[in-house]
Amino acid sequence: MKLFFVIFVLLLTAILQAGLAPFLKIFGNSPNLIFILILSLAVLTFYQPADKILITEKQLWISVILAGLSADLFSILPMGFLSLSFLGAIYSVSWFSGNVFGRLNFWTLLILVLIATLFYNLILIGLIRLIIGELTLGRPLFYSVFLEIVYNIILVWLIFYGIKKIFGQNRYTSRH
Amino acid sequence: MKKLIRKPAVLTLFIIIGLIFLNNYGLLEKPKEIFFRLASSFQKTAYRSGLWLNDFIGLLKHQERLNEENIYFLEENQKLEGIIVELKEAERENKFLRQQLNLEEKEPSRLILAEVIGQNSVNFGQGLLINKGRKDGLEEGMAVIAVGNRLVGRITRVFDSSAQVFLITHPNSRINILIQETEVKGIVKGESDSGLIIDWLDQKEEIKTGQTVVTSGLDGFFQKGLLIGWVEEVIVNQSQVFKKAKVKSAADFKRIERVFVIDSRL
Repeated sequence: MKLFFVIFVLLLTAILQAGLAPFLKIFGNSPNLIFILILSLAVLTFYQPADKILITEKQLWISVILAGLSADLFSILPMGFLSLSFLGAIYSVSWFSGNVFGRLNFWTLLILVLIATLFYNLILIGLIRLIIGELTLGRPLFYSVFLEIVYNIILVWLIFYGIKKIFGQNRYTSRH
Repeated sequence: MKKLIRKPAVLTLFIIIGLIFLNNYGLLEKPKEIFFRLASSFQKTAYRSGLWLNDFIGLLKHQERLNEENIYFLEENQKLEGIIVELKEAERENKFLRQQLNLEEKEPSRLILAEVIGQNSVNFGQGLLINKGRKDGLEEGMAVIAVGNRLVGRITRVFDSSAQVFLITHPNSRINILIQETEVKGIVKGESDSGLIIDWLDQKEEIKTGQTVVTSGLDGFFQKGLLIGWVEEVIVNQSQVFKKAKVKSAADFKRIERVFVIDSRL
């Protein structure tokens, strides 16, 4: 996959995040499209077959930087908060794919998305508490994070299995 | 150390930290300006499409109520026309009395019209993106309102030709308010999904549903008299010192297309 294409899709997603995502709320939660995209790319990178590389690890990490930057640009949070949260989430996928989940199936995908979303939120909340101080969400944090996990699982599953259908692969094993 | 830096995640971390430092010294302003300038027309199209989709789904969901709502709004409109006539008369009288008492006339604030081109709705980072910026006279801290003096938020970040608005419904938002009918003072804070709540209301204060909530001007961020909303529900807990009240926001954040930025530098 050309890096240029990945960057184009990322920037388009950032624009859609600010333009369309606010109107796709379910129980008050909007999908975090940039995070979902980067998470899908991460799962693809770490589990794609060796003979059919769609995205290299270098391209993935460049995408993480650009995704974080574009998310930070549109957010009212200080610069770097979302970038660092993305980095932590993708690193967790990298670690778990290399040390725990050798093969990818529906359940491992579900667990990876859950772990990545938790890491993302933990790092973001930690940064907000550390630097801004006050953290209020207006509703229970658990409820908000739970909805986000559900949203992410559904969308990542759709994207990942869509790619699988297009490129026709059935076996995904960890590339570590 | 070299081995550690070669790890992609660590290298990415250093690059991000580097970019944060560059941003703190203002060295990323130009790339940000360029990005927003290039993205703003696509941004506007995406946002307009979202608004259209939202309206279309709303139309399908509430089709049956359309006729009733239409009649209600026609009646409301007629009532409001009557109120406008009375207010114009009051304004005329006010002007005359000010002249008689040699009081200085309040200078009207300059309003800068801006279009909303995006909305960030992800946890902790909610805000609006508008298509006016530094070159249009915007500065950080300026109040943003919708039609009818309805408070939307304030400018937090300004670029050359766009700006970010911190919404009053953001959970970290705190505004000093006044209940217009009783002059009771309080603090309104944001809850997610267009919700607002007034806190620190004395238990003895008379608060009723339907009362109008406006800015008091005491916090220095917003001028006095900007409409925040109406009391929707009073939450009383006798075991607590203060009571709370839920407020229905006057500005419709799900349909917001155009805003005015109050240029208070005059």
